[in-house]
Amino acid sequence: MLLKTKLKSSDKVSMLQMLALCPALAVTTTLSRSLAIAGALLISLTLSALLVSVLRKMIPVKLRMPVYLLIASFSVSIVYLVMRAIFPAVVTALGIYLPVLAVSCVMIMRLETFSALNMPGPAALDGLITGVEFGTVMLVCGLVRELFGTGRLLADSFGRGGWQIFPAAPVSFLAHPAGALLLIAAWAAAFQYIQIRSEKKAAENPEAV
Amino acid sequence: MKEKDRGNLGDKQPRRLTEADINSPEFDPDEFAPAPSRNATAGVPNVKNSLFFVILCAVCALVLALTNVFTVFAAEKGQKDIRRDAVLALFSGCDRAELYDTVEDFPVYVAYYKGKLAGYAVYVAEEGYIGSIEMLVAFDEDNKVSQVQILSHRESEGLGSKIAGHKFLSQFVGMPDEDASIDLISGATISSRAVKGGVERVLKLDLNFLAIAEELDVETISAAEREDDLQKEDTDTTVADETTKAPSVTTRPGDDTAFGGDNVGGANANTGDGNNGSAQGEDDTTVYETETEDPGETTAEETTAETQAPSEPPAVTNAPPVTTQPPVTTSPETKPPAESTTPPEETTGDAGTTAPDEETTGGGGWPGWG
Repeated sequence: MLLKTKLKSSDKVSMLQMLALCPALAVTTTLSRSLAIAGALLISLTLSALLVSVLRKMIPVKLRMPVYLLIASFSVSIVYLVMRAIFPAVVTALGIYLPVLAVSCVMIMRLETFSALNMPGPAALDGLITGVEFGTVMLVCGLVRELFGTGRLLADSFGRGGWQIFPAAPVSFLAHPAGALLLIAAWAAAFQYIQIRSEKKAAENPEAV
Repeated sequence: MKEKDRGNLGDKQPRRLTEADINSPEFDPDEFAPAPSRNATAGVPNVKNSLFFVILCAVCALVLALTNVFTVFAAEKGQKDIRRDAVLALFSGCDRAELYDTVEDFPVYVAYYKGKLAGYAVYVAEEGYIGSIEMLVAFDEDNKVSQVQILSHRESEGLGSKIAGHKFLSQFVGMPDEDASIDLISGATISSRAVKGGVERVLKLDLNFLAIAEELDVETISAAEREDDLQKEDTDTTVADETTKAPSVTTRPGDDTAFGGDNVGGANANTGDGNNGSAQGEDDTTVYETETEDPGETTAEETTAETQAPSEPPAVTNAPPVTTQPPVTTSPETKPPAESTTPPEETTGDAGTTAPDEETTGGGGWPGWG
Protein backbone atom coordinates (compact mmCIF):
# COMPACT_ATOMS: atom_id res chain seq x y z
CA MET A 1 0.00 0.00 0.00
CA LEU A 2 2.68 2.38 1.05
CA LEU A 3 4.71 1.42 -1.94
CA LYS A 4 1.83 2.15 -4.23
CA THR A 5 1.05 5.54 -2.80
CA LYS A 6 4.69 6.33 -2.68
CA LEU A 7 5.19 5.55 -6.31
CA LYS A 8 2.18 7.57 -7.25
CA SER A 9 2.95 10.50 -5.04
CA SER A 10 5.09 13.33 -6.17
CA ASP A 11 7.74 12.74 -3.62
CA LYS A 12 10.12 10.94 -5.77
CA VAL A 13 12.97 12.43 -3.93
CA SER A 14 15.98 12.11 -6.10
CA MET A 15 14.13 12.50 -9.35
CA LEU A 16 12.22 15.69 -8.96
CA GLN A 17 13.70 17.40 -6.00
CA MET A 18 17.24 16.80 -7.13
CA LEU A 19 18.17 16.02 -3.59
CA ALA A 20 21.32 14.22 -2.70
CA LEU A 21 22.62 14.37 -6.20
CA CYS A 22 25.94 15.77 -5.12
CA PRO A 23 27.55 12.36 -5.23
CA ALA A 24 25.95 11.85 -8.61
CA LEU A 25 28.30 14.29 -10.23
CA ALA A 26 31.44 13.10 -8.60
CA VAL A 27 31.01 9.43 -7.94
CA THR A 28 28.98 8.01 -10.78
CA THR A 29 31.82 7.88 -13.25
CA THR A 30 31.70 4.10 -13.12
CA LEU A 31 29.03 1.54 -12.53
CA SER A 32 30.78 -0.08 -9.60
CA ARG A 33 31.18 3.18 -7.74
CA SER A 34 27.55 4.05 -8.37
CA LEU A 35 26.54 0.69 -7.05
CA ALA A 36 28.63 1.22 -3.95
CA ILE A 37 27.24 4.65 -3.18
CA ALA A 38 23.69 3.51 -3.88
CA GLY A 39 24.08 0.50 -1.64
CA ALA A 40 25.60 2.59 1.10
CA LEU A 41 22.77 5.07 1.02
CA LEU A 42 20.14 2.36 0.88
CA ILE A 43 21.45 0.61 3.95
CA SER A 44 22.25 3.66 5.99
CA LEU A 45 18.99 5.39 5.16
CA THR A 46 16.97 2.35 6.12
CA LEU A 47 18.92 1.92 9.31
CA SER A 48 18.58 5.53 10.38
CA ALA A 49 14.91 5.65 9.44
CA LEU A 50 14.34 2.65 11.64
CA LEU A 51 16.27 4.17 14.52
CA VAL A 52 14.54 7.53 14.31
CA SER A 53 11.19 5.84 14.11
CA VAL A 54 11.89 3.71 17.15
CA LEU A 55 13.12 6.70 19.12
CA ARG A 56 10.55 9.13 17.77
CA LYS A 57 8.63 9.52 21.03
CA MET A 58 11.78 10.07 23.05
CA ILE A 59 13.45 12.58 20.78
CA PRO A 60 12.99 16.07 22.22
CA VAL A 61 11.46 18.41 19.68
CA LYS A 62 14.06 21.08 20.25
CA LEU A 63 16.92 18.69 19.75
CA ARG A 64 15.50 16.77 16.85
CA MET A 65 17.90 18.05 14.20
CA PRO A 66 21.07 17.20 16.12
CA VAL A 67 19.58 13.83 16.96
CA TYR A 68 18.76 13.12 13.30
CA LEU A 69 22.25 14.13 12.32
CA LEU A 70 23.73 11.96 15.01
CA ILE A 71 21.67 8.96 13.96
CA ALA A 72 22.38 9.54 10.28
CA SER A 73 26.09 9.84 10.82
CA PHE A 74 26.02 6.84 13.10
CA SER A 75 24.45 4.61 10.49
CA VAL A 76 26.63 5.96 7.71
CA SER A 77 29.69 5.32 9.85
CA ILE A 78 28.60 1.76 10.47
CA VAL A 79 28.14 1.22 6.75
CA TYR A 80 31.45 2.92 6.08
CA LEU A 81 33.33 0.76 8.56
CA VAL A 82 31.84 -2.43 7.24
CA MET A 83 32.38 -1.50 3.61
CA ARG A 84 35.94 -0.46 4.34
CA ALA A 85 36.59 -3.96 5.58
CA ILE A 86 34.85 -5.74 2.73
CA PHE A 87 35.51 -3.55 -0.31
CA PRO A 88 38.57 -1.45 0.52
CA ALA A 89 39.24 -0.48 -3.07
CA VAL A 90 35.75 0.85 -3.61
CA VAL A 91 35.81 2.85 -0.40
CA THR A 92 39.15 4.35 -1.35
CA ALA A 93 37.75 5.30 -4.72
CA LEU A 94 34.65 6.88 -3.22
CA GLY A 95 36.78 9.01 -0.93
CA ILE A 96 34.88 11.64 0.96
CA TYR A 97 31.57 10.99 -0.78
CA LEU A 98 30.74 7.98 1.30
CA PRO A 99 31.07 9.57 4.76
CA VAL A 100 29.45 12.75 3.51
CA LEU A 101 26.19 10.85 2.95
CA ALA A 102 25.54 11.50 6.63
CA VAL A 103 24.64 15.06 5.87
CA SER A 104 22.98 14.38 2.56
CA CYS A 105 19.72 16.25 2.20
CA VAL A 106 17.73 13.19 1.25
CA MET A 107 18.62 11.51 4.50
CA ILE A 108 17.59 14.37 6.76
CA MET A 109 14.53 15.03 4.66
CA ARG A 110 13.20 11.49 4.96
CA LEU A 111 13.98 11.35 8.66
CA GLU A 112 12.26 14.64 9.35
CA THR A 113 9.20 14.22 7.17
CA PHE A 114 8.49 10.53 7.40
CA SER A 115 10.41 8.46 9.92
CA ALA A 116 9.76 10.83 12.81
CA LEU A 117 6.01 10.51 12.32
CA ASN A 118 5.56 6.85 11.49
CA MET A 119 5.84 3.39 12.92
CA PRO A 120 9.17 1.58 12.49
CA GLY A 121 7.86 -0.74 9.78
CA PRO A 122 6.65 1.89 7.34
CA ALA A 123 9.62 4.08 8.17
CA ALA A 124 12.09 1.38 7.25
CA LEU A 125 10.15 0.63 4.11
CA ASP A 126 10.19 4.28 3.21
CA GLY A 127 13.93 4.36 3.69
CA LEU A 128 14.26 1.31 1.51
CA ILE A 129 12.15 2.77 -1.27
CA THR A 130 13.93 6.08 -1.19
CA GLY A 131 17.22 4.26 -1.28
CA VAL A 132 16.14 2.22 -4.29
CA GLU A 133 14.98 5.37 -6.02
CA PHE A 134 18.25 7.12 -5.37
CA GLY A 135 20.10 3.99 -6.40
CA THR A 136 18.26 3.81 -9.69
CA VAL A 137 19.34 7.31 -10.59
CA MET A 138 22.89 6.55 -9.54
CA LEU A 139 23.05 3.27 -11.43
CA VAL A 140 21.66 4.67 -14.64
CA CYS A 141 24.10 7.54 -14.37
CA GLY A 142 26.98 5.20 -13.68
CA LEU A 143 26.05 2.83 -16.47
CA VAL A 144 25.71 5.51 -19.11
CA ARG A 145 28.75 7.42 -17.98
CA GLU A 146 31.06 4.46 -17.77
CA LEU A 147 29.85 2.85 -20.96
CA PHE A 148 29.90 5.95 -23.11
CA GLY A 149 32.46 7.92 -21.17
CA THR A 150 35.16 5.28 -21.09
CA GLY A 151 33.98 2.48 -23.37
CA ARG A 152 34.40 -0.05 -20.60
CA LEU A 153 32.08 -1.61 -18.11
CA LEU A 154 32.96 -2.61 -14.55
CA ALA A 155 36.57 -1.58 -14.78
CA ASP A 156 38.61 -1.42 -11.61
CA SER A 157 39.69 1.82 -10.04
CA PHE A 158 42.74 2.01 -12.26
CA GLY A 159 40.57 1.87 -15.38
CA ARG A 160 41.66 -1.65 -16.20
CA GLY A 161 39.75 -4.88 -16.43
CA GLY A 162 36.06 -5.19 -16.96
CA TRP A 163 34.57 -5.53 -20.40
CA GLN A 164 35.75 -3.36 -23.19
CA ILE A 165 32.51 -2.65 -24.98
CA PHE A 166 33.70 0.10 -27.24
CA PRO A 167 37.28 0.29 -28.49
CA ALA A 168 37.48 3.91 -27.42
CA ALA A 169 35.31 6.23 -25.39
CA PRO A 170 32.40 7.27 -27.62
CA VAL A 171 31.41 10.34 -25.61
CA SER A 172 34.34 10.88 -23.34
CA PHE A 173 33.04 14.09 -21.81
CA LEU A 174 30.37 12.09 -20.01
CA ALA A 175 33.07 10.99 -17.63
CA HIS A 176 33.45 14.58 -16.44
CA PRO A 177 31.22 16.16 -13.81
CA ALA A 178 29.57 18.26 -16.49
CA GLY A 179 28.52 15.09 -18.26
CA ALA A 180 26.69 13.96 -15.14
CA LEU A 181 24.98 17.30 -14.92
CA LEU A 182 23.63 16.99 -18.43
CA LEU A 183 22.65 13.40 -17.90
CA ILE A 184 20.69 14.22 -14.77
CA ALA A 185 19.04 17.13 -16.51
CA ALA A 186 17.91 14.83 -19.29
CA TRP A 187 16.70 12.31 -16.77
CA ALA A 188 14.74 14.94 -14.85
CA ALA A 189 13.23 16.30 -18.03
CA ALA A 190 12.02 12.88 -19.06
CA PHE A 191 10.60 12.28 -15.64
CA GLN A 192 8.90 15.63 -15.53
CA TYR A 193 7.35 14.93 -18.91
CA ILE A 194 5.92 11.64 -17.74
CA GLN A 195 4.54 13.20 -14.62
CA ILE A 196 2.92 16.13 -16.35
CA ARG A 197 1.35 13.80 -18.84
CA SER A 198 -0.08 11.58 -16.16
CA GLU A 199 -1.39 14.61 -14.30
CA LYS A 200 -3.12 15.80 -17.41
CA LYS A 201 -4.67 12.43 -17.86
CA ALA A 202 -5.85 12.48 -14.28
CA ALA A 203 -7.38 15.89 -14.77
CA GLU A 204 -9.28 14.71 -17.81
CA ASN A 205 -10.91 11.74 -16.17
CA PRO A 206 -10.65 12.02 -12.39
CA GLU A 207 -12.64 8.82 -11.80
CA ALA A 208 -9.94 6.63 -13.21
CA VAL A 209 -7.38 7.57 -10.62
CA MET B 1 3.38 37.60 45.03
CA LYS B 2 4.61 39.35 41.95
CA GLU B 3 8.07 37.91 42.35
CA LYS B 4 6.58 34.47 42.50
CA ASP B 5 4.72 35.05 39.26
CA ARG B 6 7.78 36.21 37.51
CA GLY B 7 9.67 33.20 38.65
CA ASN B 8 7.20 30.91 37.01
CA LEU B 9 6.58 32.44 33.64
CA GLY B 10 6.08 29.13 31.95
CA ASP B 11 2.39 28.98 32.66
CA LYS B 12 1.40 32.63 33.17
CA GLN B 13 1.93 35.42 30.70
CA PRO B 14 2.07 39.04 32.01
CA ARG B 15 -0.96 41.19 31.33
CA ARG B 16 -0.85 43.61 28.46
CA LEU B 17 -0.03 47.15 29.51
CA THR B 18 -3.01 49.45 29.10
CA GLU B 19 -3.47 53.16 29.59
CA ALA B 20 -5.49 52.54 32.71
CA ASP B 21 -2.58 50.72 34.28
CA ILE B 22 -0.21 53.59 33.75
CA ASN B 23 -2.65 56.11 35.17
CA SER B 24 -3.54 54.05 38.20
CA PRO B 25 -1.88 55.12 41.47
CA GLU B 26 -0.45 51.75 42.27
CA PHE B 27 1.28 51.28 38.92
CA ASP B 28 4.29 49.08 39.23
CA PRO B 29 6.40 48.96 36.07
CA ASP B 30 8.01 45.74 37.21
CA GLU B 31 4.77 43.94 36.73
CA PHE B 32 4.91 44.60 33.03
CA ALA B 33 8.61 44.20 32.56
CA PRO B 34 9.59 41.91 29.74
CA ALA B 35 9.78 38.34 30.75
CA PRO B 36 13.13 37.33 32.12
CA SER B 37 15.21 35.26 29.82
CA ARG B 38 13.80 31.80 29.41
CA ASN B 39 17.12 30.20 30.04
CA ALA B 40 16.83 31.01 33.67
CA THR B 41 13.69 28.97 34.04
CA ALA B 42 14.01 26.46 31.24
CA GLY B 43 16.99 24.87 32.88
CA VAL B 44 15.11 21.97 34.32
CA PRO B 45 13.69 20.40 31.15
CA ASN B 46 16.99 20.99 29.29
CA VAL B 47 18.77 18.61 31.58
CA LYS B 48 16.50 15.86 30.40
CA ASN B 49 17.11 16.70 26.76
CA SER B 50 20.82 16.89 27.23
CA LEU B 51 20.81 13.65 29.11
CA PHE B 52 18.98 11.97 26.25
CA PHE B 53 21.45 13.35 23.76
CA VAL B 54 24.45 12.38 25.81
CA ILE B 55 23.18 8.86 26.28
CA LEU B 56 22.41 8.54 22.59
CA CYS B 57 25.89 9.80 21.72
CA ALA B 58 27.44 7.35 24.12
CA VAL B 59 25.49 4.42 22.72
CA CYS B 60 26.37 5.40 19.16
CA ALA B 61 30.02 5.81 20.04
CA LEU B 62 30.06 2.46 21.76
CA VAL B 63 28.51 0.64 18.83
CA LEU B 64 30.83 2.38 16.39
CA ALA B 65 33.84 1.56 18.49
CA LEU B 66 32.85 -2.08 18.57
CA THR B 67 32.28 -2.14 14.83
CA ASN B 68 35.64 -0.52 14.33
CA VAL B 69 37.35 -3.08 16.49
CA PHE B 70 35.86 -5.88 14.47
CA THR B 71 36.56 -4.38 11.08
CA VAL B 72 39.81 -2.52 11.49
CA PHE B 73 41.96 -5.54 10.90
CA ALA B 74 40.29 -6.40 7.63
CA ALA B 75 40.37 -2.78 6.59
CA GLU B 76 44.09 -2.44 7.20
CA LYS B 77 44.72 -5.60 5.31
CA GLY B 78 42.65 -4.26 2.45
CA GLN B 79 44.59 -1.03 2.38
CA LYS B 80 47.81 -2.96 2.25
CA ASP B 81 46.49 -5.05 -0.61
CA ILE B 82 45.61 -1.94 -2.54
CA ARG B 83 49.07 -0.57 -2.00
CA ARG B 84 50.64 -3.83 -2.98
CA ASP B 85 48.63 -3.93 -6.19
CA ALA B 86 49.75 -0.41 -6.92
CA VAL B 87 53.36 -1.42 -6.40
CA LEU B 88 52.91 -4.34 -8.77
CA ALA B 89 51.54 -2.02 -11.39
CA LEU B 90 54.69 0.07 -11.18
CA PHE B 91 56.93 -2.81 -12.20
CA SER B 92 55.79 -4.32 -15.43
CA GLY B 93 55.38 -8.04 -15.40
CA CYS B 94 56.12 -8.52 -11.75
CA ASP B 95 54.07 -11.17 -10.07
CA ARG B 96 54.59 -10.50 -6.39
CA ALA B 97 55.00 -7.46 -4.21
CA GLU B 98 55.69 -7.46 -0.52
CA LEU B 99 56.30 -5.08 2.29
CA TYR B 100 60.02 -5.26 2.83
CA ASP B 101 60.56 -3.02 5.79
CA THR B 102 59.63 0.28 7.27
CA VAL B 103 62.54 2.67 7.02
CA GLU B 104 62.10 5.80 9.12
CA ASP B 105 58.33 5.36 8.99
CA PHE B 106 58.31 4.94 5.22
CA PRO B 107 56.97 1.55 4.16
CA VAL B 108 59.26 0.07 1.56
CA TYR B 109 57.80 -2.47 -0.84
CA VAL B 110 59.71 -4.86 -3.01
CA ALA B 111 58.53 -6.32 -6.30
CA TYR B 112 59.57 -9.70 -7.60
CA TYR B 113 59.71 -10.97 -11.11
CA LYS B 114 59.68 -14.76 -11.09
CA GLY B 115 61.23 -14.81 -7.66
CA LYS B 116 63.93 -12.31 -8.55
CA LEU B 117 64.01 -8.87 -7.04
CA ALA B 118 63.02 -6.36 -9.70
CA GLY B 119 62.87 -3.15 -7.78
CA TYR B 120 61.48 -1.42 -4.77
CA ALA B 121 58.99 1.31 -4.11
CA VAL B 122 58.57 3.60 -1.15
CA TYR B 123 55.23 4.82 0.07
CA VAL B 124 55.10 8.39 1.27
CA ALA B 125 52.27 10.69 2.26
CA GLU B 126 52.89 14.40 2.06
CA GLU B 127 50.60 17.19 3.16
CA GLY B 128 49.22 18.90 0.08
CA TYR B 129 46.85 21.78 -0.36
CA ILE B 130 43.84 19.75 0.78
CA GLY B 131 44.63 16.74 2.85
CA SER B 132 47.53 14.46 2.26
CA ILE B 133 48.85 13.28 -1.05
CA GLU B 134 49.73 9.61 -0.99
CA MET B 135 52.29 8.47 -3.45
CA LEU B 136 54.59 5.65 -4.37
CA VAL B 137 58.12 6.27 -5.54
CA ALA B 138 59.47 3.32 -7.49
CA PHE B 139 63.17 2.66 -7.91
CA ASP B 140 64.91 0.41 -10.37
CA GLU B 141 68.07 -1.58 -9.89
CA ASP B 142 70.28 1.53 -10.25
CA ASN B 143 68.53 3.17 -7.30
CA LYS B 144 67.08 5.71 -9.65
CA VAL B 145 63.46 6.74 -9.63
CA SER B 146 61.74 4.75 -12.32
CA GLN B 147 58.29 6.12 -11.68
CA VAL B 148 56.30 8.20 -9.28
CA GLN B 149 52.67 7.45 -8.83
CA ILE B 150 50.03 9.37 -6.93
CA LEU B 151 47.84 6.89 -5.11
CA SER B 152 45.30 9.33 -3.82
CA HIS B 153 44.91 13.03 -3.39
CA ARG B 154 42.18 15.56 -2.82
CA GLU B 155 43.74 18.55 -4.54
CA SER B 156 41.46 20.91 -6.37
CA GLU B 157 40.22 19.65 -9.68
CA GLY B 158 41.89 21.15 -12.70
CA LEU B 159 44.71 22.80 -10.75
CA GLY B 160 46.18 20.67 -8.02
CA SER B 161 44.96 17.50 -9.66
CA LYS B 162 47.55 18.03 -12.38
CA ILE B 163 50.11 16.53 -10.03
CA ALA B 164 48.74 13.12 -10.97
CA GLY B 165 49.42 13.78 -14.63
CA HIS B 166 52.12 12.15 -16.64
CA LYS B 167 53.72 15.42 -17.64
CA PHE B 168 54.51 16.43 -14.11
CA LEU B 169 55.40 13.04 -12.69
CA SER B 170 57.70 12.03 -15.52
CA GLN B 171 60.07 14.79 -14.44
CA PHE B 172 61.06 12.71 -11.45
CA VAL B 173 62.24 9.73 -13.47
CA GLY B 174 65.96 9.11 -13.04
CA MET B 175 65.96 11.54 -10.19
CA PRO B 176 68.91 11.07 -7.83
CA ASP B 177 71.97 11.85 -9.89
CA GLU B 178 70.63 13.95 -12.70
CA ASP B 179 70.27 17.12 -10.78
CA ALA B 180 67.36 18.01 -12.94
CA SER B 181 65.18 20.79 -11.68
CA ILE B 182 61.54 20.00 -11.29
CA ASP B 183 59.12 22.40 -12.90
CA LEU B 184 56.31 23.09 -10.51
CA ILE B 185 52.83 23.53 -11.91
CA SER B 186 51.66 27.10 -11.99
CA GLY B 187 48.45 27.45 -10.06
CA ALA B 188 49.28 24.34 -8.11
CA THR B 189 52.47 25.37 -6.38
CA ILE B 190 51.63 23.90 -3.02
CA SER B 191 50.46 20.61 -4.47
CA SER B 192 53.41 20.14 -6.76
CA ARG B 193 55.84 21.26 -4.10
CA ALA B 194 54.37 18.63 -1.80
CA VAL B 195 55.00 15.90 -4.35
CA LYS B 196 58.51 17.15 -4.90
CA GLY B 197 59.09 17.27 -1.16
CA GLY B 198 57.80 13.73 -0.78
CA VAL B 199 60.12 12.40 -3.46
CA GLU B 200 63.04 14.27 -1.93
CA ARG B 201 62.30 12.83 1.46
CA VAL B 202 62.32 9.36 -0.03
CA LEU B 203 65.58 10.07 -1.82
CA LYS B 204 67.14 11.09 1.47
CA LEU B 205 66.55 7.59 2.78
CA ASP B 206 69.27 6.53 0.39
CA LEU B 207 68.08 2.97 -0.01
CA ASN B 208 70.20 0.52 -1.87
CA PHE B 209 68.83 -2.07 -4.24
CA LEU B 210 71.67 -4.52 -3.80
CA ALA B 211 71.60 -4.20 -0.05
CA ILE B 212 67.93 -5.02 -0.04
CA ALA B 213 68.52 -7.99 -2.31
CA GLU B 214 71.29 -9.19 -0.07
CA GLU B 215 69.24 -8.87 3.03
CA LEU B 216 66.33 -10.69 1.45
CA ASP B 217 68.78 -13.21 -0.01
CA VAL B 218 67.25 -13.18 -3.47
CA GLU B 219 68.56 -12.87 -6.98
CA THR B 220 68.04 -9.65 -8.84
CA ILE B 221 66.86 -8.82 -12.30
CA SER B 222 67.30 -5.54 -14.10
CA ALA B 223 64.53 -3.74 -15.87
CA ALA B 224 66.08 -4.40 -19.27
CA GLU B 225 66.39 -8.11 -18.60
CA ARG B 226 62.85 -8.20 -17.38
CA GLU B 227 61.70 -6.50 -20.52
CA ASP B 228 63.52 -8.95 -22.73
CA ASP B 229 62.06 -11.83 -20.83
CA LEU B 230 58.59 -10.40 -21.06
CA GLN B 231 58.80 -9.95 -24.79
CA LYS B 232 60.15 -13.43 -25.25
CA GLU B 233 57.31 -14.72 -23.18
CA ASP B 234 54.78 -12.85 -25.24
CA THR B 235 56.02 -14.46 -28.41
CA ASP B 236 55.89 -17.83 -26.73
CA THR B 237 52.38 -17.37 -25.54
CA THR B 238 50.08 -20.09 -26.68
CA VAL B 239 46.40 -20.73 -26.58
CA ALA B 240 46.95 -22.64 -23.38
CA ASP B 241 47.51 -19.33 -21.68
CA GLU B 242 43.98 -18.36 -22.37
CA THR B 243 42.94 -19.64 -19.00
CA THR B 244 45.20 -17.22 -17.18
CA LYS B 245 43.51 -14.23 -18.73
CA ALA B 246 41.59 -13.56 -15.60
CA PRO B 247 41.38 -9.88 -14.83
CA SER B 248 44.01 -9.95 -12.15
CA VAL B 249 46.78 -7.50 -11.79
CA THR B 250 49.48 -10.00 -11.18
CA THR B 251 49.61 -12.12 -14.28
CA ARG B 252 49.18 -9.45 -16.86
CA PRO B 253 52.50 -8.15 -18.00
CA GLY B 254 51.56 -6.03 -20.95
CA ASP B 255 48.62 -4.41 -19.37
CA ASP B 256 50.55 -3.19 -16.40
CA THR B 257 53.01 -1.68 -18.74
CA ALA B 258 50.42 0.29 -20.54
CA PHE B 259 48.94 1.40 -17.30
CA GLY B 260 52.18 2.35 -15.68
CA GLY B 261 53.69 4.06 -18.62
CA ASP B 262 51.13 5.75 -20.73
CA ASN B 263 48.20 6.65 -18.63
CA VAL B 264 49.60 7.95 -15.45
CA GLY B 265 46.93 10.56 -15.13
CA GLY B 266 44.14 8.09 -15.33
CA ALA B 267 45.85 5.69 -13.06
CA ASN B 268 45.17 7.68 -9.99
CA ALA B 269 43.25 5.43 -7.68
CA ASN B 270 41.29 8.25 -6.23
CA THR B 271 40.12 10.17 -9.20
CA GLY B 272 41.01 8.51 -12.39
CA ASP B 273 39.01 6.47 -14.67
CA GLY B 274 37.49 8.73 -17.22
CA ASN B 275 40.25 9.27 -19.68
CA ASN B 276 42.01 6.02 -19.17
CA GLY B 277 39.73 3.97 -21.29
CA SER B 278 40.00 6.33 -24.18
CA ALA B 279 43.74 6.38 -24.04
CA GLN B 280 43.99 2.65 -23.80
CA GLY B 281 41.47 2.01 -26.47
CA GLU B 282 44.00 2.95 -29.09
CA ASP B 283 46.43 0.40 -27.84
CA ASP B 284 43.96 -2.40 -27.78
CA THR B 285 43.00 -2.51 -31.38
CA THR B 286 44.87 -5.66 -32.26
CA VAL B 287 42.96 -7.62 -29.74
CA TYR B 288 39.69 -6.43 -31.02
CA GLU B 289 40.32 -7.65 -34.48
CA THR B 290 40.92 -11.09 -33.12
CA GLU B 291 37.84 -11.02 -31.03
CA THR B 292 35.59 -10.29 -33.94
CA GLU B 293 37.08 -13.15 -35.87
CA ASP B 294 37.02 -15.83 -33.29
CA PRO B 295 35.91 -14.84 -29.84
CA GLY B 296 37.83 -16.35 -26.99
CA GLU B 297 39.95 -18.70 -29.08
CA THR B 298 42.98 -17.15 -30.61
CA THR B 299 43.43 -14.01 -28.62
CA ALA B 300 46.72 -14.93 -27.15
CA GLU B 301 48.32 -15.87 -30.43
CA GLU B 302 47.24 -12.76 -32.15
CA THR B 303 48.78 -10.52 -29.61
CA THR B 304 52.16 -11.64 -30.67
CA ALA B 305 51.79 -9.95 -34.01
CA GLU B 306 52.05 -6.22 -33.91
CA THR B 307 51.96 -4.21 -30.77
CA GLN B 308 49.94 -1.36 -32.06
CA ALA B 309 47.79 -1.62 -35.11
CA PRO B 310 47.08 1.88 -36.34
CA SER B 311 43.63 1.32 -37.73
CA GLU B 312 40.60 -0.44 -36.42
CA PRO B 313 37.55 -1.80 -38.21
CA PRO B 314 34.26 -0.12 -37.38
CA ALA B 315 32.73 -3.52 -36.78
CA VAL B 316 34.56 -3.91 -33.51
CA THR B 317 31.83 -2.17 -31.63
CA ASN B 318 29.85 -5.36 -31.91
CA ALA B 319 32.61 -7.43 -30.47
CA PRO B 320 31.35 -9.65 -27.71
CA PRO B 321 32.92 -8.85 -24.37
CA VAL B 322 34.88 -12.04 -24.08
CA THR B 323 38.41 -11.15 -23.25
CA THR B 324 38.44 -8.83 -20.35
CA GLN B 325 42.08 -7.87 -20.39
CA PRO B 326 43.41 -7.09 -23.80
CA PRO B 327 47.15 -7.60 -23.66
CA VAL B 328 49.27 -4.76 -24.79
CA THR B 329 52.89 -5.24 -25.49
CA THR B 330 54.18 -1.74 -25.49
CA SER B 331 57.50 -1.13 -23.92
CA PRO B 332 57.31 0.58 -20.60
CA GLU B 333 58.13 4.19 -20.07
CA THR B 334 60.03 3.32 -16.99
CA LYS B 335 63.20 2.23 -18.68
CA PRO B 336 62.80 2.65 -22.41
CA PRO B 337 64.84 0.02 -24.20
CA ALA B 338 66.27 0.56 -27.65
CA GLU B 339 63.48 -1.17 -29.52
CA SER B 340 60.74 0.88 -27.92
CA THR B 341 57.68 0.64 -30.06
CA THR B 342 56.13 3.74 -28.66
CA PRO B 343 57.85 6.84 -29.92
CA PRO B 344 57.91 9.60 -27.35
CA GLU B 345 55.95 11.92 -29.63
CA GLU B 346 53.09 9.53 -29.50
CA THR B 347 52.80 9.52 -25.77
CA THR B 348 52.85 13.25 -25.51
CA GLY B 349 50.45 13.58 -28.38
CA ASP B 350 48.27 11.08 -26.63
CA ALA B 351 48.11 13.18 -23.54
CA GLY B 352 47.31 16.19 -25.62
CA THR B 353 44.59 14.82 -27.83
CA THR B 354 42.65 12.75 -25.40
CA ALA B 355 41.59 15.75 -23.45
CA PRO B 356 44.65 16.30 -21.26
CA ASP B 357 44.72 13.67 -18.62
CA GLU B 358 45.68 16.02 -15.85
CA GLU B 359 42.45 17.84 -16.34
CA THR B 360 40.12 14.98 -16.95
CA THR B 361 40.77 12.79 -14.00
CA GLY B 362 37.21 11.76 -13.51
CA GLY B 363 35.21 12.06 -10.41
CA GLY B 364 37.50 13.30 -7.71
CA GLY B 365 36.74 16.90 -7.41
CA TRP B 366 33.84 19.28 -7.23
CA PRO B 367 33.47 19.06 -3.53
CA GLY B 368 31.05 21.93 -3.49
CA TRP B 369 28.02 20.12 -4.80
CA GLY B 370 25.99 19.66 -1.69
